[in-house]
Amino acid sequence: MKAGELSRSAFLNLLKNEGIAFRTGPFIVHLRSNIPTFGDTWRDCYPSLELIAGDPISHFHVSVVEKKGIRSAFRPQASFQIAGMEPFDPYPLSHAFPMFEWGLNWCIGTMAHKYLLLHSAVIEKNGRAVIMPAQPGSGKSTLCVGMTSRGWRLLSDEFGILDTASGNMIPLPRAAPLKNASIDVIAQYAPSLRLGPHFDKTRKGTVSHLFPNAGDLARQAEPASPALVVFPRYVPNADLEIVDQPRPVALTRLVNNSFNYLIKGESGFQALSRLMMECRCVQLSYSNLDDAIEALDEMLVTT
Amino acid sequence: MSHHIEIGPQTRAIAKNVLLHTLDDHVVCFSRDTGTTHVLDALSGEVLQQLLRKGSPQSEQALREHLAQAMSVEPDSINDNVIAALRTLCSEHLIALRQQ
Repeated sequence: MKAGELSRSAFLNLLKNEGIAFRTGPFIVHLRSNIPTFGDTWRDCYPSLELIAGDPISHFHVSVVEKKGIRSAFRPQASFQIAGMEPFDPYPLSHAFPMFEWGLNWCIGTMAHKYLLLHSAVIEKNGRAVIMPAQPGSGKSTLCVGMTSRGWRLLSDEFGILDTASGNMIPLPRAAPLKNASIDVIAQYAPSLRLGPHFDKTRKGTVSHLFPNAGDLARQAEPASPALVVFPRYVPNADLEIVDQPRPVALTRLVNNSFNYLIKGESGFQALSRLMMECRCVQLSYSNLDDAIEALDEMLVTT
Repeated sequence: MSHHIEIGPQTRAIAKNVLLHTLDDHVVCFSRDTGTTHVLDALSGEVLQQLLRKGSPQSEQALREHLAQAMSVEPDSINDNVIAALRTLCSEHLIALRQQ
């Protein structure tokens, strides 16, 4: 049964008591929460996610709970817990949803070492993936979200999950956080995209999430072959510029960009070396979303 | 063109702990001993590959001569900076050099 097929009360009751289990990319998550507003937002975000019946073996057991205590009487707080542990400080209760998304990112980034994890977005068209390493201020999220309105599939906004055995990029379609000015940029550029509520005064400013579409969620078991590594740079009022990156330089940047390259050791080195043999690597400077997307469409065809 | 140098049984034991790939005229190497990854320019990569082919220790003089031949220059033109970089490289990869 899909999350959106349950009534609100039935879903919140299930979430509070037994909890829900669902697949996100290659991971199964068990989630429990006693915060109704969090449950509402989660259900709005993922209505087409299939809830797994029974008590499946899960990769992550997560709880998002209202924190009790004297302080909570004045400033209600939400706590993120993984297997009973609280890995970081509580958030304001109203920020429970972004806290969950960031918390699950933390779980994946610190534990999912079966894969080589790159700090990057990954988007796909025709079975071929573009890897966009994350750098502050690059406009990576805005560009990737914009691309989803132009026929591209968003495999992930945060993690480039590289399967070291196959060399493929593994999808992890989840809510993609847009921050501050990029929220309005995307709302105007692609008004058909589903954006979630605004969360003000978070640790990253104002955040609103792009809710993943049902099509991307339905294809979350479908990997893609890497074809391009694109280092984006948003430069206001600048002309579009594409500069090929020498592959040794790109490899070094990806090594530094990875969450767990040092843990993966030799298999990580072999996987990145193979990736470099399979991909064209470029730096893309842009100021206009349409121009950048058109350039990426063309590169994917010619590479 | 790129290739992977197979570390075979004819090399010294230390060489089995270094993986090499050639990318765009550079050599990227991974040390199993230290877990570190390095990008070497063509010259440094040539030095490392020579050491791994021949095994260590080798003399600095022999390496000067090899590099000079590979670069089609006189051995005297391989300056001390190159040799200093070579020593650092060998130290990093626990490869013994014999001074002569």
